[in-house]
Amino acid sequence: MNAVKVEEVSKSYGGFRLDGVSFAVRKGFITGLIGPNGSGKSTLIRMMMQMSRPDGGQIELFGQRLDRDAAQLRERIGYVSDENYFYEHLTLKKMTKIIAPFYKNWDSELFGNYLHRFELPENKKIKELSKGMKMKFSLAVALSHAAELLVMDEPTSGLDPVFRRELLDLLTEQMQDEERTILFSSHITSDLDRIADYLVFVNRGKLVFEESKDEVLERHVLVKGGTELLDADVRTLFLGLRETGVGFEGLMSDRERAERTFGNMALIERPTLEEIVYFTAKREGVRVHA
Amino acid sequence: MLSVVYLIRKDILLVYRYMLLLLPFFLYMAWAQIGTLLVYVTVPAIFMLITSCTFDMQNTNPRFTASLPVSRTQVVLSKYASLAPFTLIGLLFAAVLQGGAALLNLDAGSFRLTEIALVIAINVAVASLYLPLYFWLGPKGMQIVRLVFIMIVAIGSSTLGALSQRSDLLQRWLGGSVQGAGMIWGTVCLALVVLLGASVFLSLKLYAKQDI
Repeated sequence: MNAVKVEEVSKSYGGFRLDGVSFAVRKGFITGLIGPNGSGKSTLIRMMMQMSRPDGGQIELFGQRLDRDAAQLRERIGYVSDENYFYEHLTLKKMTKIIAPFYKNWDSELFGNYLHRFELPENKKIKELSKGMKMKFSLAVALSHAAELLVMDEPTSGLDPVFRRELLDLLTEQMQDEERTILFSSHITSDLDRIADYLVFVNRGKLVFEESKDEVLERHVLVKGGTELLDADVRTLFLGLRETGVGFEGLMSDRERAERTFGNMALIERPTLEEIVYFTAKREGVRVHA
Repeated sequence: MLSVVYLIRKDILLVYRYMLLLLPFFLYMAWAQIGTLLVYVTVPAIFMLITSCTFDMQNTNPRFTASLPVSRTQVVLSKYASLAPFTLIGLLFAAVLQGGAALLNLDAGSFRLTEIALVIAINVAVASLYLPLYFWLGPKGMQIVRLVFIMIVAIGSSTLGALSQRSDLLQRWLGGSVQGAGMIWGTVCLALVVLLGASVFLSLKLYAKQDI
């Protein structure tokens, strides 16, 4: 069962094109939407929230098409954005007073617990809060109306490491209830390394892969060796290649092939997600001459 | 339907403190135009509408409304409907001022039904022109439009107020003692309904496909 299904979605604006992207967000799991800045992650999320309309293709939430105004579906979504979208001149108390009536399942007690847990001062204006505190408030709102799907657009960008870790722990905690689904976009791959079950990788408006995190990490290999191992044919095997004066490191998407090709002549390692994103984003190869 | 009510409530909560800051300005306007209900009611009501629209368009605020479980149709309708409580607040403001003026033995005019109807008509007409522009232009183009509308409302209503004080014909018309006044009112109402209908239709069309 999918919480979100994106089918052949395309969108063009200001020189950017999202090109026939399809993927699914499985119910009960954390899916990481990864890719470099400007790859189309936020556009995809905005389309799921109906803040932006696709030029082509379609999106389904909980099995229902998003073609028309699907206001009732947003009742089931908790949205957390990288940027504060609440009214800056209001206090948290007043902002909550505005938000709460819109949700049938708003749980004031639970919300109060989150405010307490996050040490959020109710009488402080939103503009007086730090970025981390604004994010905590956004998260408290998203978690207090029994949302089945949490859609989080770069929630950890600009946060200090302590709160980032707290946030990831909180999300893991949320997954104890298997009914909840999380879609978490980030270019900070170490966060997704820690919590994601599935990964959707978009780059330059195109889908690169959609797989379980374990499969992605198992399939890809990072090969390190001397430049004498590289010739024109070998170079084509790499998704991305980085050469220096003393050697190279490159990413391959086929472990067996890497082992057959290089054997003991090169070092074959399991890459991090960051390395996979880096080398794939730089598909043509980055040459650094030391 | 309930969502529209919550959206109107949101708009009132957004602007009421801001309006308190503008109270001295409104008081000055009222004092300068004493005897003219038009100024007391029109200016605060349209100011509140424009201010709530401004807050909704600032920074990333459009995403807030878009993240709520409300449809875009409800968002548009709520902006038009919010004119009703804003006009009511304007009327209450006028009533309080009239009461205050009476205590000070100043002539603050009277609450004639025709004058209230004219105020409502002006508010509806201004909102019908303003809101499609608001939904069309978004945050970038609205800064100039907002300024222009505030000036039109402030200058226009005070000019009309002064005119109504000095023009015998307008006074008689507002008093309902002009022959054919009913016909004029009927035409005005019809024109307003057409204008409002076209405005709502246009706003719905413009906002339905807008990327936020």
